[in-house]
Amino acid sequence: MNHDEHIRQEVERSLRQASDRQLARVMGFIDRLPSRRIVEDIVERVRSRLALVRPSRPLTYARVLFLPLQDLLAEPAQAAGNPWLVPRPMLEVIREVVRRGLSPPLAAAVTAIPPDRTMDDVETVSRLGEVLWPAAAAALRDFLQHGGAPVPGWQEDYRKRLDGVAQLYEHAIDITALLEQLPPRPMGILTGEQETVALALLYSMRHVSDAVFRSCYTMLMRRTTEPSQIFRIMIDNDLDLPTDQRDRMLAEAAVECLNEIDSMNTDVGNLGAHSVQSAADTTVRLVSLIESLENAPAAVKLDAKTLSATKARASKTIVRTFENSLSGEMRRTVGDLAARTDATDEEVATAEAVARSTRKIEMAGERLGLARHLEGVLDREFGAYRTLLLDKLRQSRVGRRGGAGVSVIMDELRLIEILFGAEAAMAIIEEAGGGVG
Amino acid sequence: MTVGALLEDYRPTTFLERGVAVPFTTPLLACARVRPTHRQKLEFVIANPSGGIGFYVMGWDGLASLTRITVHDRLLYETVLKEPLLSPGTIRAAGRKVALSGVAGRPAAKAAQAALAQEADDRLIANFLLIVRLLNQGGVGQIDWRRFNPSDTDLRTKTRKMVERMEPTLGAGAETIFCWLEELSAIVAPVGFRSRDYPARMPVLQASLEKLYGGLMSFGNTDATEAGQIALFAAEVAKLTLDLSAVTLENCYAELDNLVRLLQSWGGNRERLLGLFGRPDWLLDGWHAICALWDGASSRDAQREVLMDIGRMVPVMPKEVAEWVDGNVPVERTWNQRRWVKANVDWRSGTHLLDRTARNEVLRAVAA
Repeated sequence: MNHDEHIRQEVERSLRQASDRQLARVMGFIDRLPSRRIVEDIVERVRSRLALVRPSRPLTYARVLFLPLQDLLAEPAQAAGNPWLVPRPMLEVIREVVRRGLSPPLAAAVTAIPPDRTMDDVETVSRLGEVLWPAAAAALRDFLQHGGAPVPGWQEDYRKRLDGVAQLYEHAIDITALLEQLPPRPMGILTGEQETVALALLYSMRHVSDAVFRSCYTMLMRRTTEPSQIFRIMIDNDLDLPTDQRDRMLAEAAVECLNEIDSMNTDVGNLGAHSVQSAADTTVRLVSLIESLENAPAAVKLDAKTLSATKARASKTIVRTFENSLSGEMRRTVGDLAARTDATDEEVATAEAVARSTRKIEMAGERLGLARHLEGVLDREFGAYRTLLLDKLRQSRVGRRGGAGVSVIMDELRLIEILFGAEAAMAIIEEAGGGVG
Repeated sequence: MTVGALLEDYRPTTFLERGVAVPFTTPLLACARVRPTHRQKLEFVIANPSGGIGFYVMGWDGLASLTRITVHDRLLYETVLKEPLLSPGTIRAAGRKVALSGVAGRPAAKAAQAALAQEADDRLIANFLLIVRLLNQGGVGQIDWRRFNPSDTDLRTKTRKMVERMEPTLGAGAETIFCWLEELSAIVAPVGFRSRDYPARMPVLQASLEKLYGGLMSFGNTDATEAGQIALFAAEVAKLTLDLSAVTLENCYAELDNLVRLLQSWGGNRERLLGLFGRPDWLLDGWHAICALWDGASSRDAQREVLMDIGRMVPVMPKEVAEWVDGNVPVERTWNQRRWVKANVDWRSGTHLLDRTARNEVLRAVAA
């Protein structure tokens, strides 16, 4: 096995069932790798969790350069259907074009970043961006107008997208200042104040250019798990937009959301097998999207049948994923813990994290009206878990006078509480003779 | 369904009326304070969970109908109910007792164990330092305390002869003097001494609060969102709490400056001293969890997230505090300033509650 393959395997193993804290640590390790490319596909699988855990990331030239584009980044297949998205491979082209276009003193200034800074250092990021983004816009403009030496990775259909990116960079200082005031992806329901910020973004960019306006609208749509709120901002405010154009934008975004839900649904089905945590995070976002679309304003003209079919597919996946986790990995984990007395703190913490994720899938499913199905699964499974715990308790009491207390099964009891609720755990405590102290 | 009364203009007169922060893990309860009722039960004071102005006052049954309460919290509630006296110290002890069972997770159990050991150590050290101070102040002779091991339980035997020489001055036998000092060490241990001989609980918490104040100010001055406003509000109350706790700590240290006089009037002064030395704990009550919450937020986004909870956890300053520090206290500004909530966040159920419960269990491990 070569060195890169070894690193890949280590990262994959570490990320598979990492707790949030561990995930942050592993990402810290990845950030220090000379090249992330060897593990990029593995990182991709935990991207949704990363968005939730949000570890502090080191401040780098590339991160600042791409900051204004972060909500537009997509895989090439997804970007193919939306001209406002930026396919990930295009970033290398942008990086190279900007590198060539920067004057040496400017390049030296923006790349000389103290090593201990993170992207949370808002002031430093803004200061660098104020210098870098206008320069990036100029470099891209110059490249589009005059061409130059071939750029590795260049594709002709990047030309139009690059033009949009150049326009974005021209206004990136204002755009990022406003976006900074909004929650990151996945962005839930906005407060009144945040809604005003979103409106200010759209309003201020409306007359800059159609490309910038559409890009900002796409950023908000991609960031949110509540698309109907963005729809309402578009409908309820006078953005000086012809009605037919506005309605077209709403309809296109709604279709994108439905596609996104289907894509997430596939992910949940696949992820459930090897990472319950990622599956749970994706399920929660997916359910939010469906709920929001169900409450979409009439002007969106969403096809109810299509939404209903999408929801039915998602519902099926959620019930199946939950059942598989509860009767499979989770029960094995509890069984394993019940059979041992030497489980480490880390093993218990990992089991609890998986249990929380399993329960999240169930709770998210309840929001889609699946309570009856999911409770049925819980009822069917509880007996098996209860038996595991009481057997362990019985065995621990053999030969002891006075008997062992509930503390013997405390790790497992906590898993029961997470998975089945406090009442179920209390019922087992009662059955075991009560008293945990 | 009526689950409690809404107090729009909530101005507690005393600290007991403000209630004590209880280390619950259920998210809704973690922001609540508990206070006794006339019928020897408990009621909860909770900053309006919908984000509106005011505080709700409700009983356990009302809360149980609003949210899913964890096993840990059910057991903790039962334990707290049995406490004859409600104070930050008794709640802390109850919290540790329940956490020791492991019901809030292994890290919380270990932290409770460590905290109990630390408390016992602090008490031994305080007792030892009180003996040394008494002998020095009483002119029995300068004692090099480095020659003694503070955790030596046989300290009484070794110092007995010297303490006997103080009997005429204090008007009591050596055994009684030792008993007084032991009693005194229980209330001095968390406060420590002006000379900072060991990291006592209250000065350590003060230092954490000072750090929190700096962090909140720096965040609030550079963040234009609602979280920035909450940070500045919390920083203002933190600063006020710091100033007031410094005064109450100094009042305690002043008493210890003349231990001979203190012990000469111990019988008549005991209740007053118990109250005096308990004041820093009442003032700082609730801030330990807030500091831990802030420390655990490792990125700016995470800080914005926890500030929503911090805004609801910042303790209201009762009017009684003015009597404690002999002066005007600008508490008016810190009454009902809080009115923040992430719009339409479902605070009663939902997947985020699982994460918050887990986060509160982590807090139990950090702020035991």
